[in-house]
Amino acid sequence: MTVLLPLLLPALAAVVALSLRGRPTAALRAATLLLGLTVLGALAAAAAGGGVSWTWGSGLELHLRAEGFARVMAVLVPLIAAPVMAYIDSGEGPADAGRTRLVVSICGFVAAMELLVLAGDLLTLLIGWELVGALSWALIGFEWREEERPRSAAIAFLTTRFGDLGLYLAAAAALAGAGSLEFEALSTLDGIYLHVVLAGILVAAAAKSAQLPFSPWLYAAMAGPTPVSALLHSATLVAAAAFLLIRLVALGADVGWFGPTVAGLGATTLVAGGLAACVQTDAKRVLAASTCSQYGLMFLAVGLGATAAAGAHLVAHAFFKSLLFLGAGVAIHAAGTRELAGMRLGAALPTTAVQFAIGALSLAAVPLTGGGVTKELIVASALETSPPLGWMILASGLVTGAYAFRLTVLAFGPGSRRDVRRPGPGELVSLGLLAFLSLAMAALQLPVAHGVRLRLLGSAPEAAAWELVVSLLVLLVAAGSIAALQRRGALVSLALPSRTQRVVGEWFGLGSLARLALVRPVLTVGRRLALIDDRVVDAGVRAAAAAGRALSKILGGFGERAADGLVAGATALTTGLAFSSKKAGDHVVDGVVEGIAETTWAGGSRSRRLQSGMTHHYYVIAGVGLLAMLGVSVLWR
Amino acid sequence: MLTLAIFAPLAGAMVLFLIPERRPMLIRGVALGISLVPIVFQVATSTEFDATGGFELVESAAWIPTLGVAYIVGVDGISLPLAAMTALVFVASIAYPVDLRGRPREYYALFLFLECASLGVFLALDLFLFYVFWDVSLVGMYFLIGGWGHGDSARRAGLKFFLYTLAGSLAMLLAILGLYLSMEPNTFDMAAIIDAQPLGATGILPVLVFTGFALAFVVKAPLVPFHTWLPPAHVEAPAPASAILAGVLLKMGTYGFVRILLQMLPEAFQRFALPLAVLALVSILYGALVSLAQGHMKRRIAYTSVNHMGYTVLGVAAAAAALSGVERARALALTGAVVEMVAHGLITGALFLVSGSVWRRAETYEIEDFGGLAGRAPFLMFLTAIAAFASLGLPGLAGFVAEFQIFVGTFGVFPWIAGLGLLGILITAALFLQMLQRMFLGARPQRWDQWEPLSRTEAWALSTLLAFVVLIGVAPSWLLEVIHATSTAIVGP
Amino acid sequence: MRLGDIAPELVLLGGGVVVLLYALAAPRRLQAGASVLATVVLAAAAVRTTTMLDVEETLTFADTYAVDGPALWAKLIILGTALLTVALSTRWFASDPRRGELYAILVFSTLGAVLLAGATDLMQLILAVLLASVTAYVLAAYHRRSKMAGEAALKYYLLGALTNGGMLYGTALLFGLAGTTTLVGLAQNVEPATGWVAATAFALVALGLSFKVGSFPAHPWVPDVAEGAPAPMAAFLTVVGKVGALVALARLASVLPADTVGWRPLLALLAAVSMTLGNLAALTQEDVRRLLGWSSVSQAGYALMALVALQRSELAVPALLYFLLAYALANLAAFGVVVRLRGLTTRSDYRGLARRRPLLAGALALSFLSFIGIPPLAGFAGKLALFAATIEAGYTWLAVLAAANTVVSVGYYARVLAPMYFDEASGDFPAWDAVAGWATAIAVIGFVVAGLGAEAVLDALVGLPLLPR
Repeated sequence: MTVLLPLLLPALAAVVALSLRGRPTAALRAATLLLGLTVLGALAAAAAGGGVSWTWGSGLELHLRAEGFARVMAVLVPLIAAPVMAYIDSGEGPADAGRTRLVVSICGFVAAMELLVLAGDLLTLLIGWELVGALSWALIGFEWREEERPRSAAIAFLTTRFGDLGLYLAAAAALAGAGSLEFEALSTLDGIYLHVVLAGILVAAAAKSAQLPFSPWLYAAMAGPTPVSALLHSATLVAAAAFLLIRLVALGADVGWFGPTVAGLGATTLVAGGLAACVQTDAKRVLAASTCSQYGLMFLAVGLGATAAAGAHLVAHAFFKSLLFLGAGVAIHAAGTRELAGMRLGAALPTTAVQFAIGALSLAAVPLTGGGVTKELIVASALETSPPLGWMILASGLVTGAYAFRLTVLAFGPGSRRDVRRPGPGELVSLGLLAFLSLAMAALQLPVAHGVRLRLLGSAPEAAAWELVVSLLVLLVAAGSIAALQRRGALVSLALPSRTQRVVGEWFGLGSLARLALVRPVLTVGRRLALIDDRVVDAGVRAAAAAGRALSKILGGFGERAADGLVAGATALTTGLAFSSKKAGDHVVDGVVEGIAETTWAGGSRSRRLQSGMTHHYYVIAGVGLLAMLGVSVLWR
Repeated sequence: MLTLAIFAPLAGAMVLFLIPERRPMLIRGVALGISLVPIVFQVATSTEFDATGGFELVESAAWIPTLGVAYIVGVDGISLPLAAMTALVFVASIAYPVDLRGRPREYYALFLFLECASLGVFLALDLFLFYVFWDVSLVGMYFLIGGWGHGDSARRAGLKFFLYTLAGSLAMLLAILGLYLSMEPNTFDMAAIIDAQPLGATGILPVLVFTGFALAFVVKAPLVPFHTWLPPAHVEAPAPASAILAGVLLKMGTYGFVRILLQMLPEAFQRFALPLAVLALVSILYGALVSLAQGHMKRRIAYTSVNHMGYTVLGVAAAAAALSGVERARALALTGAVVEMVAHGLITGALFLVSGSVWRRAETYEIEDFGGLAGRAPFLMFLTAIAAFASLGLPGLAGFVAEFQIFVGTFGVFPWIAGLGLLGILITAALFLQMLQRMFLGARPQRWDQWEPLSRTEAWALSTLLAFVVLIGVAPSWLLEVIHATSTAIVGP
Repeated sequence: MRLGDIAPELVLLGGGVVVLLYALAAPRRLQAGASVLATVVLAAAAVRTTTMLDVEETLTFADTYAVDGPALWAKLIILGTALLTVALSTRWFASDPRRGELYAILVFSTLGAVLLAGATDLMQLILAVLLASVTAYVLAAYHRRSKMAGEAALKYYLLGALTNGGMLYGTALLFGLAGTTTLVGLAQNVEPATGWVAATAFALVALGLSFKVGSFPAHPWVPDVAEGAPAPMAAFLTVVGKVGALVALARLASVLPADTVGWRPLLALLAAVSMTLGNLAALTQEDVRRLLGWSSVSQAGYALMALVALQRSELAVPALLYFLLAYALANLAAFGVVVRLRGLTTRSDYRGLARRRPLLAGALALSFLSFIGIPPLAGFAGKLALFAATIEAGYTWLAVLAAANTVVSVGYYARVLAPMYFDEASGDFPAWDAVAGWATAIAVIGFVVAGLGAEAVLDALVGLPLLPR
């Protein structure tokens, strides 16, 4: 039952915060405390292992299992969430009831994420997965009064939901192929079902972790408040994808295309994201692009089979990325803008600058930082299985280092001692904690931690000394070029044509392409169909009605003024046809059809009076009828 | 007990005419009290319900033995949840405030009359009785739309609804007669027909009978391209009537798919399962895409009904395809389809009631006219968001329970159709997010500064419906076990 | 041959004479007494008929007249209609100083229809048709000063003259073929080889009867009379002829060899054209009475479906009689509302009726719904039985057509119902005395009860032979 703790505690936090909505500060503190307790709960659950299951219905069960990488992840989530929550205390966000909404949403979000992490079957996973997506909509669109933010939230949700469809498919294929949705049962899959399951998982993961071509949604996600971004990018939403791959990678072991595809996807995004980060001038977008790039690195590692290293890097990334976001948040708050051009707050905010720098060094994978250690692990594994890719990762350090250093210099580089808003205690503590954790990861490399390391990562290959040297050299080159640019005063513009800078920074136009090739066509198709629906699909019904009326005119007036009716009916039909074939608006068509009906009606009413009847027509009817009767009864008996 | 549940509202409708017309609140209170009676009876009966998979709690009486007509009512795992949902949606709709046009007695009497008819359709176990209730419901709805709709066009919309669905139901009448005449001795008894399976798959007669029924049900459900009566009817009807129309009346069509086509004509259905699944797929995608382009709140919700009924029919069609070895998937699809009926009833009922609240305050349904309402009406936003997310299939809410099972089940039978149908839930997500965003978020036009908060009645009615949406979403087993027992029994071991 | 076999007819004949004498003798202020007398006569005939229901079915008077279930039930429907018509008409004709005669003619007209239902001999049939027709012309034209009534009656007469002549000719042909005019004789003596002559003869007789039925091709009088004749008489004329003539037509068809004469497709044609024509023509009518007239044509078409199913479905005869009962009651109720509202005739005049006079509006709405065939009203069970019989007889297309027609018919009924229920009333609705109201109420209760308790009626109708041996 301990496995429920990491789930229930944040849920409880949400409830408590909601009940304290009149007192935002108390709500926030209670939530922070409970999230802190969640860390302990998760540790207990991870230590105890085991799982629970619950009948869902129709012969399906939900499972929660603390096993494998889920145990690490379950701890990591509240470990990041608690400091983020503490950061809100004195940091960004309105101090009114709206802030409680933020707190409650974050707690719910953490609970959903824990559900995802501890899921033992595809259904539970899907539930957590979708809930995380939906709550991210609420979080990103938190400041809903500004038109743009809810729209960005929708983009984020819809893009990731597109990926979710992959999970639906995977679940369907798993049930069809293995008769069960449980993770253990998936190993019995083979044939087409296995391919579908893997493809589905891959699509879901790629969309969630903003791999190419889904990357642009992460920019949209920047519309959320900084703490939200910190949480989404480090240990929750985006991390869920890498987590899923790590958790289920064994499935793809014997499927030829899976590893290379994952690796290829990762490698591409690693480079593309790095380049985008290098040229971006928006502080949060640099970090967003960097997130894509870093998850690309993890995908690459998973694709190469270095699962443990990928997991380790996921943890390290969670620490330094949340640290960087929160630090950036302080800077943005102080500078009043997200544009890097006007920051340089090193002198004004020295403490934050140091904390931020620690994060940046870890991001750049400088040896002896968390990121450095875990990236070395990946490189080492890669060099063993696929040397070219190993070298590529080493080389990518150039890009990573470049944007990490550039960001640090631009945001917290030496500048004037301005009087700006100072971070509050909550911010300081949470940044400090995360900085500590970023550095502490490096302890894995210490000989003392050898046992722990072996338990967590297995016998992953060690990085050779020359690799370290190469890494350092690459970083030096990166630092040198940043310094050179800095001296030239071209650190913001990078001396690039502004168009190039914009295109590269905006994912090489991928977002516009999606709008142009996907969103607009869908909307257009919808509008066209709606028009067709109004005009054409219903036209059959309307025509039948009009024809009925016209016929009624003829028949009702038959023997009275048949010719009139015929003419009116024919006119109605021809005019109706003529108009419906024209591209008139639906109102016009509707109006014309109905207008004609009205006119015929009025015309007919004159011919309907009894007095106008002529009896000889009645004889004609009777005579014709008799002939018809004879014909039928003789010929058709 | 079931008989009482069906006819208590009818008796209550008469009682309303004893109350003076100038006391509308009293009339509403009495109507509300009466509408609770079926729920009480159903709760009472459901304690005796064993979920054996077959018909239970059957009550019968002779009616017209000469024609083989009897009064038979009873429930199984499919009709029980539907009847319960019906009663619930009626309670909420009757409670909901609306412009009564000075004729409260007639309005509420029609509602109660309609409740009687709707419950009757789901509980009847005699085809004749089924048809009686079915047709009577058309009349009730016609008068509601015409009498309390939004204007002159309401009459045209009501007539269109009546003519269109009556055309379908007459096709069904002929099909019923076809079934009836093929029974020896002639009878309308549903259980007997299900046992006897009088029509095989060969010859023209099963095809004709199947077509007759299918026509009635695709019109009623409705599936593309037989849906064009739906948007005008929804747009013009008063909001509570829209809620009934979407929540309850559409279900009659999908219920017919299960009860009659699947259970009485399985062999013929098997031949048409694939075409029908394709039609359902078209409805799913078409309904969602057209809905996305609607700027009118009610039209938008109306078209999502086309989309959701597409899911339901897809599930039933998958269950009808007799592929050996995938019984589990077929039963799952069928269970999902039935859950979708219940879920859609509650969710869309709530959404239309929301539209009623909006209309009462704004007298417009144009989504573009709104904005930023969250600031003035946070609770309305909250409830709408729950309904919208439930409709787009978010886990933890009822829609997901249904759609997940439908997709997973259908995948085992028609993988490609299931895969393409998945796109529907993406488009639905887009259209609901867009609606939420345009109406409730962003900047608020000045004219809505005096927006009244939800009244207590509105809040209670919506909350009750949505509470069940959440309950089914979070802990569906109590519902699923009941339905699944019957689904398994129908699909076969 | 017992005189008791035709007791109801004798009651009507004698009673008619008495009413006539009373009307001639009574002073103006006592003219109303004629209606009471007529009521007594009609009721007496009805009671006598009821007592005959359980006697053995037989042919009487040298096989020219039947005392059997179909005849007796048809008589009951006709007599009931006549009774309600009398009730509807009391106030309507109150200003007419010589209204006593009307009731005498009404009784004779009833007698004509009753004889139609019982006739099993073609000569007998012709006499019945003529008696019914001649009196009907007078009833239609009873408002002597009304141009409209006069015109309607004249057209009615001209059309009747043509078709009755045709019927005589057809009878002559059949006599030539079989050497007899009794149906029993026809059943035995019509040779298969004489195919097209027999067919011509049947077609001519059917033409004559279609005039009384009010179906294609002799239907054009129906809307004229419905609009022009006094409203109570319009109700009477559209019903009684139908009942009697359909039973007669059924008897005649059932004795002719279907493979020689081809009466089944012929009647199917009449049914199909009548219902379609009637419904389509009714769609655009602005006059409620004329609309009811056209609707009557379409109802005749539905009823003809039962004849198509003769001998092929056991339900044919019960369906026919039950449907006629349902139609008669609903039609009386609809015209009853018109009468009660002093002959209110234009569609727009009914605007807002439901607000001011909910009961009358309800009666009209229910009768329309019964016409459409909405359950649980009698019209539904009637249509259901008709459809079942038709499908069983192999005429599914006809059932489909009838279903389609039913949909169309909603169109015009709704054109009256919608303003009645959905519009605001512009003025008051002056109404006449309550007698018409009560008669209407009885008719409404009648078709509601007959719908819910269809078993009681149908049980009595099942298994009735069309020609007793």
